[in-house]
Amino acid sequence: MNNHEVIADFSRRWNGTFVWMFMENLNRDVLVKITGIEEHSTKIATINVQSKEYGNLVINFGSDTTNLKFKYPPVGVFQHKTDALVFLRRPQRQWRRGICSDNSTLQYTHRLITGKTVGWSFEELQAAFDKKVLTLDDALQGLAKRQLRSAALNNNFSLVLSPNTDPRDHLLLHWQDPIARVSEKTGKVTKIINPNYKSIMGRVYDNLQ
Amino acid sequence: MTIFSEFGLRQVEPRNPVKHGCFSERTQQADLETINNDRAIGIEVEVENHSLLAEPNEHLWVRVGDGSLRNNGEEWITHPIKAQFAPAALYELFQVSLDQCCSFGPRTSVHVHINAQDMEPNQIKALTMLYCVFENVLFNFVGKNRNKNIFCVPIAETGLMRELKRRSIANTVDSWAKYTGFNLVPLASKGTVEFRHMHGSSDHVKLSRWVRIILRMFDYVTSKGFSEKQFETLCLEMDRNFDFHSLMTEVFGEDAGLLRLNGWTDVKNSVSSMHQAFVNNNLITPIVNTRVVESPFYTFFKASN
Repeated sequence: MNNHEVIADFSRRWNGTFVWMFMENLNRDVLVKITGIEEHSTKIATINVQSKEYGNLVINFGSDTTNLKFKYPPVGVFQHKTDALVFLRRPQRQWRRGICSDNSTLQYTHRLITGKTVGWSFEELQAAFDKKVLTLDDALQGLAKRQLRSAALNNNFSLVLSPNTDPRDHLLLHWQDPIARVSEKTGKVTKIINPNYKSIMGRVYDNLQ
Repeated sequence: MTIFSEFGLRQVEPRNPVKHGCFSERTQQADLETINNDRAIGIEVEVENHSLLAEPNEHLWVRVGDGSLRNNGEEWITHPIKAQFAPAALYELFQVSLDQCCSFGPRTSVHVHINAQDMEPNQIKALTMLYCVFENVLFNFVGKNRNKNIFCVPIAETGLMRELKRRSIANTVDSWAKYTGFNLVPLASKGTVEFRHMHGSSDHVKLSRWVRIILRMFDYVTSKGFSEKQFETLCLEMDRNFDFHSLMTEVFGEDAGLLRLNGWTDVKNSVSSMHQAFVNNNLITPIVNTRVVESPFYTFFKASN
């Protein structure tokens, strides 16, 4: 491949995706989004990247591209601000290599019930890498004080404020599916929605206490 | 009802490579891994820098073009053969036919198809759940970070396990994704389950062991004493206190020694994903249909401001 083809190939694979870039001056990786690749008169090409912490940066194609690393966040349920989100991989044929909607999904755990969708930004993706989950007590408190709309728990469970008024008990989700109702005050299961989960509830959810 | 009748397939007729004289004297005298299994399989091997010392016997290996490969890449696939012939077939290809200058870079892989035409849909579902539990362990055996590869994504990292129990096998296969390590898509056309995990390699010993390990799971779910109901109960009992080592020994027998299971962390996410098989999509509708704007969820932003 000639230079033009190499750059076109790189652009097709990486443009518009999120990757990690090693910043030598910080001696650590920083999450960046590749926003453009431009052919250059004196260099092979330059790559425009965007970082939440450092704004827009320009790096050299070739020497600096070795600093770009691709890795997925861990799959599962995590807390981001007021909501529980879930990160999954999409096994589709694709060209693009960095993290993007072609190969990954980022959704609210309550999406199937509320229809609400998540936009892709540094904050959501960084939270996926951090994969923070709450204790049951912290989740209940956050929901009671309306600091949280949904709360990520261990083992890919999450609690969501009820979208119904009868009952008002929280919904307990496993990944993205409702499996039980949980008391707002005690966190105890008040109704098992999916009877298949009776055994799992006893073994896994009860151990979150 | 079997996969054969469910999908209206053509019956697989495995060839006998011995009858067709496919194995050279060198292969016949080689000290090879043993696979005591008659189930029909097919193996696909991708090679780069392809060069031949001897043309493989056409009754065993067939060359097919592969556009995804570079550097004079070729793909060799076996005709359906009984699994017991796999070690000799691999030895014949790598040690007798291919030149040692052939390479197996990151673009190459080895895929294994296992015939499942004789299996019932519920056995396929049990196999899928069993595989899901040990998926990490199997990727660990393969190595080379193949679980991060975009052409053999672990099913526990996707939403594919969701509703597996309730959905029909046709529906499951129809919505499955080819680029998963454990690929159910060929069930509808060939009646096989494809294992896409293995990186490109000419290590016939490792590949033979891989085939044998995979077959152990098929043996487990098709054995006379296997009960789907009991297995489902077992799946629902899986938590951090469950004895995964005993189950691994029960399924993989002596080959369990080739696998590495460090503890709960190796299976935690797989088990959590496997439990989604018991999800029921119909349970969402009543909740969705009774949503109201006065509810805690929809008054959240008003309440939090």
